[in-house]
Amino acid sequence: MQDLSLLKYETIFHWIAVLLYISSSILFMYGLTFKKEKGLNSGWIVSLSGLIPHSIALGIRWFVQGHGPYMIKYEVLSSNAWICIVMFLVISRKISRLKAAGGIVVAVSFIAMTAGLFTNPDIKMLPPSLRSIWLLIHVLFNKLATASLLIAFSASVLYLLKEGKGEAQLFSLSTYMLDLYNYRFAGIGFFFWTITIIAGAIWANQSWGRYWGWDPVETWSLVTWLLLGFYLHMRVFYRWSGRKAAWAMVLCFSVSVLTIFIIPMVVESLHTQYFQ
Amino acid sequence: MKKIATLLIIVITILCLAGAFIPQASDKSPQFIERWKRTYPLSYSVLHFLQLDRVFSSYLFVVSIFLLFLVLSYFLYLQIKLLFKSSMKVSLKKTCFSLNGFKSVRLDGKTEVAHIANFFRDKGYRTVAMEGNRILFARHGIGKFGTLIFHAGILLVILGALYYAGFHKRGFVQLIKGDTFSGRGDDFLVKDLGLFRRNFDIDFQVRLVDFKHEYWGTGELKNLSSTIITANQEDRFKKWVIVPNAPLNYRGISIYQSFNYGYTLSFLLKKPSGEEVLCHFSLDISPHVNKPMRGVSDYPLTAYIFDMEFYPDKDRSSFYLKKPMLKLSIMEGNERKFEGVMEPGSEMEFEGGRLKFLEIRNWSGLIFTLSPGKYFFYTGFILIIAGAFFIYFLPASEIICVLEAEDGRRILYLKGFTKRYHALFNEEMEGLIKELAGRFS
Repeated sequence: MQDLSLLKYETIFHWIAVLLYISSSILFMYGLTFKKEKGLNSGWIVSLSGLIPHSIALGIRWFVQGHGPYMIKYEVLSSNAWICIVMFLVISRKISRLKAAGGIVVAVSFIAMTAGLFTNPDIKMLPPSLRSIWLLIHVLFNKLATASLLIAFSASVLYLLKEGKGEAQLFSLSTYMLDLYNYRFAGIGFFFWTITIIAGAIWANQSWGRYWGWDPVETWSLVTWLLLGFYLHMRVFYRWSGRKAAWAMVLCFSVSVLTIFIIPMVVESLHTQYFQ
Repeated sequence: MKKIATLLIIVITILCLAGAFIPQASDKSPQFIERWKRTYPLSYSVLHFLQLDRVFSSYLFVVSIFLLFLVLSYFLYLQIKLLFKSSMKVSLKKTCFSLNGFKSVRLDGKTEVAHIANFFRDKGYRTVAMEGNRILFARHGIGKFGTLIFHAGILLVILGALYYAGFHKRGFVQLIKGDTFSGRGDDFLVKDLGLFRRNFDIDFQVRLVDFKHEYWGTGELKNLSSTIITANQEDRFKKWVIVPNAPLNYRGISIYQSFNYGYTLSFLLKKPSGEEVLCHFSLDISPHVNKPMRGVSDYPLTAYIFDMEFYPDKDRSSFYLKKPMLKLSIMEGNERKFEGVMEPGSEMEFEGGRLKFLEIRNWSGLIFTLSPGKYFFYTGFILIIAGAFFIYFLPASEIICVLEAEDGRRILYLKGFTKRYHALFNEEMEGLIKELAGRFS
């Protein structure tokens, strides 16, 4: 373990990032509400600048404790927010019209991060069960799945908002495209969630000699995967789209949040270690 | 078929939710189940009758998984049939070719089929077939097989799980430092056998020669390691070190370092009759350094119950054996026969006989497994990941182009097909038409 005094800088950088993300969310909301492209672009740039102190803060923690930020609420919430914002920035750079989703993605991320800042930030060292390359794969893909599902959720919420107000109102992105992005990112999220479960099963076999143990978080993870699978099948089998699909995605995202953040707090589980 | 598949996904999801909400017998202690039976007899009886207190081994769950397996098999058969039948190459060869639903773009009179092929190649499309003035382009052809590959993967994982459920063997032993595990199935402390397995005998013995547990400065566990010697019937001895996440594979059996470990306290009780009873109590390490390791157990061949509170270090600053201290309370029925502190090596008068606290040794938990179905699982995992990738990252698309001559000009008719993300594909088609018109007009 390195010099713990460095951690005070980590907190400062975290708070700077939170402030920048709040500003970015306000700009995104302004752009969305008043159909101002400038607002969305400024929001994008401010969230990119927020990512710099955020990355430094996570980097300091990683350096000090000698392992990645995936052990306690404080780290998990912050690193999840980081991955969500990075994925959003990369994707909206390629698909510019998705910047509209920033109003929700950045807002949810900074709320998660701020909630983390009010939890115990004490360093927790890695137990031997967690020292495996499969931990990194399992955790990384779970975070990517969360980020993808958050983008799909944002597209669904925007769809429902726009549908309620009328096509000509609010931002310029059409409901037709929002429905498509809901589907696309739900599919990508499903892919990442699949890898999360598989990596977890391989790791469980390496660590405990069994692939699956019906641990509460494992079971909820399977429920989330089945729900996502159900939703994706409904889109193909019964051509679910629009409002119905948007509400289904909201449900899938809510269950994924329950699985990752709520269940480990309320139920005794092998996964509880990472969310203490 | 779609309805059955949908229904099965819903049923399995609901059963998983039931397993998540209803306490499961496999997770709970016998005391919990007894308390549940006493407090809510009706709810317990109903749930027990419906097997909802052991959902994941219930008939309903197993039958649902088996039905899913059958539906998937049939679905795969249909998909393979469809893949061969619905190829657009077939429609391209038809003599009677309708241009219904095609979009058209007027091009320069000099435009040839080869120019169109080059244009689409630059856009990432491959020429799949060419029949006179008709061309079929395709992109991400592998994407067409995504669903098939994904579901084949799930099928293999289900097969692996069924095979595992029938034939796996798993056993747990608490091995005291210096002691040997005989390898006999009856000597496992806990056993979990597949439906078609009767016992778990292994053809070698295991002796624990050393056990190490290390801690971070914060008191959290840093590492565990067991040094063992295996001896088989050919009298071959081998020394191994087992650590978490790195199981030892020996003679078809995998041996894992368990996260259960602790100290074993050994006593020798000399009864007034002169009979000597040796007993080992294995206590689990406590989660915190300042908390004692606790254990309550019968002393074999006597009516005494030993209630122990053990500190490896009486200063409560270490998990290692420094200044060990045992607070011992001995009961016989409701009568307390002894209460006091004992140190290793100490001996005392007890009920007309003598009780000696012989020694303290480490014990290590070792898990022995025989997990069949590995190849089903890993092949299934690879297929599931590859299939999902092909479905959601490489959606297949095909474009049929027909180049016709009309009044010295050329007209290109195009029609695109895709199974996923139609809105994006339509946008792409519009862009392609615009670009074609710009380049070849």
